[in-house]
Amino acid sequence: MVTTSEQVHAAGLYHPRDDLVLLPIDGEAVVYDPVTQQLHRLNPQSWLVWQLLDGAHDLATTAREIAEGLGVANDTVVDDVVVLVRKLWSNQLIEGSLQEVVPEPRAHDSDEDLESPDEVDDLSRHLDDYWSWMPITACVESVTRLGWGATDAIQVAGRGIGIRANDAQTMEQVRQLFQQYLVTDSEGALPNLSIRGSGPMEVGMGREFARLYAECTLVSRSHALQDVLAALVREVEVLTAVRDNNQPRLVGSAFLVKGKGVVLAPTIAWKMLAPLERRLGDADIQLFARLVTFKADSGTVERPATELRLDWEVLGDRCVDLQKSELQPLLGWLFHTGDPTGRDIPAGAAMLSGLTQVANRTEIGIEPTTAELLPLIERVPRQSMAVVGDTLIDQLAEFAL
Amino acid sequence: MTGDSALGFPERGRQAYAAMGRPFSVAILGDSDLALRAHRLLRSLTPDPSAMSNDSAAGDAVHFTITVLPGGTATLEAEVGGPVEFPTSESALARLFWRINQLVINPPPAGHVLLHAAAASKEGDVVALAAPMESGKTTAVTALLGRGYQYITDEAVALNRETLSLTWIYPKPLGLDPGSWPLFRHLAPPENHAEDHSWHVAADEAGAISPEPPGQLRLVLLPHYEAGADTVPRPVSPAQAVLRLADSTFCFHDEPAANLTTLGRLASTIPIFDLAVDDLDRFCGVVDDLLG
Repeated sequence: MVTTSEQVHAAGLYHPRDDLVLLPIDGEAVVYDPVTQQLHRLNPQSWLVWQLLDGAHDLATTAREIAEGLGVANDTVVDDVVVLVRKLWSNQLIEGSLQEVVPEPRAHDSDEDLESPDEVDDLSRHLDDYWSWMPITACVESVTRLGWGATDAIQVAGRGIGIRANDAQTMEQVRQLFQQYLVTDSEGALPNLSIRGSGPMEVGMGREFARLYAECTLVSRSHALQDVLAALVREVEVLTAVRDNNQPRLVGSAFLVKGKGVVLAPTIAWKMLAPLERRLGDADIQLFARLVTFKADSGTVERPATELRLDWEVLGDRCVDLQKSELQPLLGWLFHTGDPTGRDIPAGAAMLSGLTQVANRTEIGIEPTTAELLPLIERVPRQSMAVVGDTLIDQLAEFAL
Repeated sequence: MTGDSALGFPERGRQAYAAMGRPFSVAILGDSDLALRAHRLLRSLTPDPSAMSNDSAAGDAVHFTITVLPGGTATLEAEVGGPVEFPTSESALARLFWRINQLVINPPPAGHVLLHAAAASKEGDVVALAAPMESGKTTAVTALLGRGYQYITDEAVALNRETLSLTWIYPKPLGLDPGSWPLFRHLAPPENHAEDHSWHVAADEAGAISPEPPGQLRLVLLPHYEAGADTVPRPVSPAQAVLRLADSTFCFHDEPAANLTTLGRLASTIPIFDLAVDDLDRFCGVVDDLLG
């Protein structure tokens, strides 16, 4: 299912997925998603809207009913309902008749790009959950040398992180997001992040830290501030994962938005983004990364194929546009453990690291370095997309656009 | 398994138990002191001679054998797989307790929701402390035992789906982490015990054991240690309670709909509080007050 939040629109028709397990309780509800095995809580407001999502009435009508019932302004309710339904949509809890929904382009510089405090609070809560087990031990860094619209510093898991924004309004959003991690007494400067909350909205890594990622600076670009703020949270997560040897303990893949999904081998995803940025102009780019947070994961970092699969599974409900159905055959091939003749072929690093070039200029594919894998490649539908090398920028850009 | 009826089973010293209705037996070979200690730790579990008989019930029993080898290493053997070697008899014993625990919790007993929770009772009223690992369940329940509560478990509470009552007690040995040793000096290990291992305490040495079945569940707390916390209970909404309890439900995803229904009934009928705990005395006072 496509999950771009902008595809939730006041004119759209939406209804809950029919395979969910629902427990209404005391004016709220708990939803269990058997696909992701995740539980969600619907507060009273969410539960009210949920019950009105019948697939027959658009969100504007639903909002009007709620506004009339509550005796409040319709415009406010419409905005709230759309924001809420976007959350439900991004969690893949509802379905909709997308053909009838035409996303409207958002004005980059308008105040409408600023999301509601509720959404910021939601992200902040996510952050709290994420770090609830991490000790915050010391303040380290400063961003006093950074001058861009506004700067601030936070301290998470013992790491100081400078954040700069292009204007005060965006910085205020950032401060709300990280309010309990803000620090005022800091000196020096090292890793820092930048966020542009108006114009072409994006998140980037500062020069010092970017060195770790081969001079890559652009991390995420979107036309929705909410997405960029989410990307900022992810990058803070990444920074906190970098340990003393300056090697990020994470696995990552990149997915391009704009109707195309591309998965990159984690080990090269970072390197690919900078040249991609240059080639893709103002296209949306989202980079997703997953921290290695469990001991069981630590052994997988050196095995790209395993990383890829874990990324895929973990990020499945977070990515903006996966085109999962097209990539599944390829992933099935990547983890194939026997070829058509019945010989065992190890799935793992040896396979992925050997795949470095594009087989076809107009169809992003893969080319193994060992001839014995060719019969397997023939089984992979050509519309599948996988980029596992570092010489694919032209083809990738052309494909993505 | 090292011994069955065809090999002259049971071996000398093998003892049979049941935990939450699951029969098993344990034999410790090659170290009589360790054998004495192991059976002392397990003695609060239900004795179940049928686990070593030839009747049908015995067919479900799992038979564990620890063999202490010359040089101090030890093996643990059960029915599945061959013997597994451990560097010390202490680590083999810890593994045995872990295996017994796995036997109990996976799969959960039919018709029950199995909460990852400690529990104790007082005058027939049961309080359950549901929380993930390392949240201080054992420490908290040990403190309650010191205040006259009866021990039910520090690990798993089986809740009957129909009655929301506890069917069994599971008085396993309490595994006290080094951080809690100073709090319970009378239960602390000898000085030569390595500080990187939990110290197992026989349940009946920590306090009285609850009768089986225990009384009615009256209160559920969601405790978590937090330095400097005021140790004041905070109510959670039923929906929030369901989410928290689901996180502490063994094998929740095996029967999500049935588990949700049961947890929903529980959250609608039993008081449930979040409790950030810093002071154990205050914690015990809170439990006393809430049970009234």
